[in-house]
Amino acid sequence: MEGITDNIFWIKDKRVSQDAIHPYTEAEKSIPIIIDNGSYMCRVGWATDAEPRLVFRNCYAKQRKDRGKKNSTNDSEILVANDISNIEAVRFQLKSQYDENIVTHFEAQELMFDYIFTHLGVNTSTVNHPIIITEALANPHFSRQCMSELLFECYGVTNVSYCVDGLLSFHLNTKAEDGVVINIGNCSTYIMPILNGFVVTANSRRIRIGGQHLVRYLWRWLQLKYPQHLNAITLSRAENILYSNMHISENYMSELSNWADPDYFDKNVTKIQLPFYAQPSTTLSAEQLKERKREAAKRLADVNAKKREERLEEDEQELARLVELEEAMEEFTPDEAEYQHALDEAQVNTLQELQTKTSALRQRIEKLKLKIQQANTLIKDDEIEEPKPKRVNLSIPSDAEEREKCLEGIKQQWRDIHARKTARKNRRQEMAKRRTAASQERMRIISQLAKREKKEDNFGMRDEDWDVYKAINKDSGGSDSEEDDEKLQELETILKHHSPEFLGETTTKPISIAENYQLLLSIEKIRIGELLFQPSMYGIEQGGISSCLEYVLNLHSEEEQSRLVNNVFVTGATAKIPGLKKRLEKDLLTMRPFQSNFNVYIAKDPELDPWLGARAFSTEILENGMSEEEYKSLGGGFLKKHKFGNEYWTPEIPPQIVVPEVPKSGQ
Amino acid sequence: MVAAEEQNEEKLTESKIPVFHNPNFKHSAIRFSKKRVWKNLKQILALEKSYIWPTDAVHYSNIEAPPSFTPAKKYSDVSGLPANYTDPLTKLRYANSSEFQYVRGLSMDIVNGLLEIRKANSIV
Repeated sequence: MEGITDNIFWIKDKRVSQDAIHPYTEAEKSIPIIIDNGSYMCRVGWATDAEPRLVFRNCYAKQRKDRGKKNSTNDSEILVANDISNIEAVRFQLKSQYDENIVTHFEAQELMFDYIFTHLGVNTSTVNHPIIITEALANPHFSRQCMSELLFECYGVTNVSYCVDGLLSFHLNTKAEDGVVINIGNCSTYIMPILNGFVVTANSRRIRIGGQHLVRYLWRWLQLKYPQHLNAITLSRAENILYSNMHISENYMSELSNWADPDYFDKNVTKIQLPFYAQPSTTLSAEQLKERKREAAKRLADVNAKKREERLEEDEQELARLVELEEAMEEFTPDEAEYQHALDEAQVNTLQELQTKTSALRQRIEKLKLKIQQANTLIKDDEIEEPKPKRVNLSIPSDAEEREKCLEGIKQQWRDIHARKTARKNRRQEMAKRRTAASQERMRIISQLAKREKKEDNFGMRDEDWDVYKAINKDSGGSDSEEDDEKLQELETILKHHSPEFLGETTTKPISIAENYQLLLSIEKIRIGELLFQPSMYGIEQGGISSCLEYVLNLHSEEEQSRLVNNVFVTGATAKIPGLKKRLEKDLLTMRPFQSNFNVYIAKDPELDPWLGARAFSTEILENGMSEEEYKSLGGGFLKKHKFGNEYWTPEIPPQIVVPEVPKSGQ
Repeated sequence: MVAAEEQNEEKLTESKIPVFHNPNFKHSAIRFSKKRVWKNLKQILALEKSYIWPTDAVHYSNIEAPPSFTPAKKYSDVSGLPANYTDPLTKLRYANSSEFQYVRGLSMDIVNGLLEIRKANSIV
């Protein structure tokens, strides 16, 4: 049902299914493995695959097994990537190897590699394959060193090559050697100038806003706008809404002013339908409810009647027995054994007791009979009698003019009470706050009371003395507000009946339950995407994409600038939001000299292109990879220069930081 | 008792280790630290600074985008429309009088939440 019908967008929660463990065939031996290790999604496949085999969220959840049980040790269940079928269920346990867009937690990365190689079906003692893996631009040396160490020493891979995702996408999409890459990632957005095929790292810039911030912003915003649906608005749903309903406005300010117009709003608003469960009781009409009530009452009466009849029967039998005993006893004298036996039978000591017992029983039977009779007539009465209306309301004259006058009076009364109520509410609020006139007045009276001379305490002698409490009471006038409530309700019932449109102004009642579960998207549709251009809306002081692009361009000579703007290339999963191209073109038009040329391109597949690029250029990348010997002699942070990767500078690492080599055991 | 449990656990984790995984591998970065804590990004960047680099080297922390050169535009916290006013009590921005009424009717946690999403809530 997902999709937009009638401006209503039906949310459907996506469930991920577990990844299959692929068979490991002879043909795959020594084929490179390509890993696009993004901070949000990870894509993995053999270099011979047309598309990545595994696509999963780069995260895991640690859950404690049988929590609360006595014998539970601290073993926990770890769900990795696509093992998590519903991410919202483990949202608080979710962990990732990333800090921003840099891998920092390599035990977590180890877990992800285990997952990757297991699902690729690797079943040999080492992962005997070259690896092509992506990393962030200017990835810290330390981070790369740890990654190489993990891949070579833990998995025994043959070769490792590092690439930057945005550069792979750029070279896949364009044959040009110059350009600017705008890579909108999950954590941050990179602006990377490329000259002669190589990235100019020194002039690249990173803005700390990415897809993740957009999702979080939308999520929090919707939660605050609809606090009643706090738990129904999840991050996954916000993400779903973001990528299916948002666009980037070409001219944000003018589009904003459109939204201020109610007609435009009605025409363009999108309703997000949250899943909901209809309560069955609400489908019953008042008549049906009444019928049900009546049936229940009748059933109860029937049960009672049956019980009474049973009791009557029992009593009558008992009476008959006792009478029989009494008659029998008359034939014997008290000395005879039969006489005593009869007394035992009746569970009494003397004949008098037996006689009182029988008479009491007779009375009870009489009473029961009377009750049964009453109950029978009552049921009949019930069936005829209609429940009376609760309150006889003010009579409304039938004459149209009179009626109008009368209703106007009622409306006026309603307004008065309503105003009184709001005034009281405001006063209460004022009182609660310090430094308002009302609370200062209250404090003044209290301090005066406290100051009063205590020589002659006659407080309470006069009735007016007690009024002072009314003045200093925090929620003054609480008692008569209840009265007002009742009156207000009464008036509302009349108004609802005679002029329903009047109350419509003040209390809008939703028509269906579904509408109760709808979120309205208006300005949000352009506001979220605008975050990329105005990070200040998210509290980030950095400039947006356009202003940063302008800054980066200004770091270059004019000749270089025109080479760069000729090929402005946008990639990264967030680039899927429509309208991005037009907006960038508009912004470039304002920042570039009059009648100069520029071109904006969006990646063919902003999400998948880094992986596909690595596949397309795998031979070239692998030629510049790092072999195990190079790793051992040059260190794990080492890089060879190639078009798709980071630049490398050799650091001189102070000796105290170098970790001493420990003899390896078991290898 | 404790020793037995530990053994048990060891066995459990061992059985989980895939064949291609070197069972004796230990990360050098945490091999000698007792707490086995990984450095976060900030600490890594600080560590990188302590290395001696060639003069032209560019680091992760060097390519941070500059702050915006234009003043931040102000938008209403409740509607997103351009806002000319700020409520002195709640510090929320609003565009018109009806929004002001709405702002004053909001509960404290909503107000704080709205300030928080543009990181304008000062924790005092």
